[in-house]
Amino acid sequence: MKNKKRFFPLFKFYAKEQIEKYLEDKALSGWFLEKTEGFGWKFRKGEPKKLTYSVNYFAKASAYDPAPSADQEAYYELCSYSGWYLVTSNAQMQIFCTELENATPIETDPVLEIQSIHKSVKKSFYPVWILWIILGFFQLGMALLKLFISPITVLSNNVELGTFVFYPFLTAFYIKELVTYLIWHKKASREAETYGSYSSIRGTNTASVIVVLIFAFFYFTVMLSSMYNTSLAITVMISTFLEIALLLAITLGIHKLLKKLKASAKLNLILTICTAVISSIILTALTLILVALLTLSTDSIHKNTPEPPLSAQDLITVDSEKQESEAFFDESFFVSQYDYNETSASSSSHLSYMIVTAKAEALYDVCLKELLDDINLFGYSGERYENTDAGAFFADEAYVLYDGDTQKNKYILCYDNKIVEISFGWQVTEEQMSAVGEAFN
Amino acid sequence: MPREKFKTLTEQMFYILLCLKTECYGMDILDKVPLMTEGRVHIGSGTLYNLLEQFLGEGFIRETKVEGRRRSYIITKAGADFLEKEYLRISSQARDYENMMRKDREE
Repeated sequence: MKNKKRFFPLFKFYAKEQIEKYLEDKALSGWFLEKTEGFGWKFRKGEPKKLTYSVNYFAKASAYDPAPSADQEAYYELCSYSGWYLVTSNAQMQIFCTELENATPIETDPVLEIQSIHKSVKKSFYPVWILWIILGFFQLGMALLKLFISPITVLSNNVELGTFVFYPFLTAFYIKELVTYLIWHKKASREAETYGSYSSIRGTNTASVIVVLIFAFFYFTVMLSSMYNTSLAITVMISTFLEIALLLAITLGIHKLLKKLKASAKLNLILTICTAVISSIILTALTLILVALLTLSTDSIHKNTPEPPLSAQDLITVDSEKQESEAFFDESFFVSQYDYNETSASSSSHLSYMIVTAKAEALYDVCLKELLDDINLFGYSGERYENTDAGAFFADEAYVLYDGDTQKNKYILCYDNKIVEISFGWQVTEEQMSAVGEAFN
Repeated sequence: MPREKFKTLTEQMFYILLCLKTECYGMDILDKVPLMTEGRVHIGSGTLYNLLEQFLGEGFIRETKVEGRRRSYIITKAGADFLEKEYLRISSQARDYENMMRKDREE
């Protein structure tokens, strides 16, 4: 039987009493904590024993310290004098243990104890929580701006839409962490001042972690399956997870190595951050290259792009061998977008169109407005759309583009739940208009 | 309301300063206080460490020796004055109590 084992208790950093109880129960069943740093908590098997654990917070310590500071050593010395020996430490958290039945607790002043916890949380967790909250709001702001500028692109793409779920979720998660702590801190401080004792926080992060995992899985599945065919989606998903795992391994490896080499806390912090940034750039680049290579080797990476409903040869005589065409299709629960572009050496046979299908009525006007206003996005260009005869295209509404007084060969046609923006390389005849109408109706 | 730092001394603070009337190691304090108070007051090692740090910061005590992990301290003039002030405060509290209670008994 293995005599070392890892457990994954997901306690809150400041859940002092809960951690103590957990470790005491483990000792009673013969498992003794060795360290909490790294991947999971490492335990060693031994004779079951009744031990008393004490979780304490030494605010001056840091995860980047190469070794305990002289102050920390002096602190350990005092603790061992009163019967508590150090089991392990992880950043500010110091875990002691004693076999004595009636050892004086390490902390006998709850007000001071809460002060130590507060200083440690401020040092280790505030930066992380606040950074994620700011990042979440920033990304959400950017996504909203993009939605405002180009609703069709955003509304027809599940990945873009995903940001509206993902970032609020992320932000909410960290706000919850911060608020939970603040409420606990306020309550515990008041209790300690008034009654000379306080209640330690209860509840683990397990539920949060499960929610995050389910969410991540769901997000990746929806996002990737809407973008790529199944095998590519799986490859991208696996490589993304590998990328994250590798990134963590490299960063933690450097962090540990520097600690072993006795690098100063500051140097370690700087180099660890640099490693994280550089390796995330390299790994992201590698993943993108991998995806690009896979894309090249597969014929259709995008899920079933439909056949174009209309091509230039339906309208005019073209040398079909010289025509080149490409189509792009993207779809979400709200909007789908079909882009078709056909070119040749002679510009008079160019044809391009975009079909936007709004799956909800409210979105129809938003998409139409974007298409009509698109030309003026970067200031007045002299171009504008004007109403034209919709009947010729069998459409509900039709607009034609004008540049000053000159009519261009670009139209916006409205059908049922579809909007078509179409541009011809030639002057369209009435007969061709009816053909277009038939193709899109 | 948060406890103002050293406006008054807690029992533990009082006994730490009292012990440091003569030079001693941190660990000596851990032993001396329960002896002095017949086991009524115990000071945790973590609490002692934090209080010594705060007293040093406030200039109430100074470090006299550092021998590896062991450090010894002694009270300063400022610390002694503060302790004296605290003693006077507690004494007057005790006197007031006595006066009130004796009056009650006499009545």
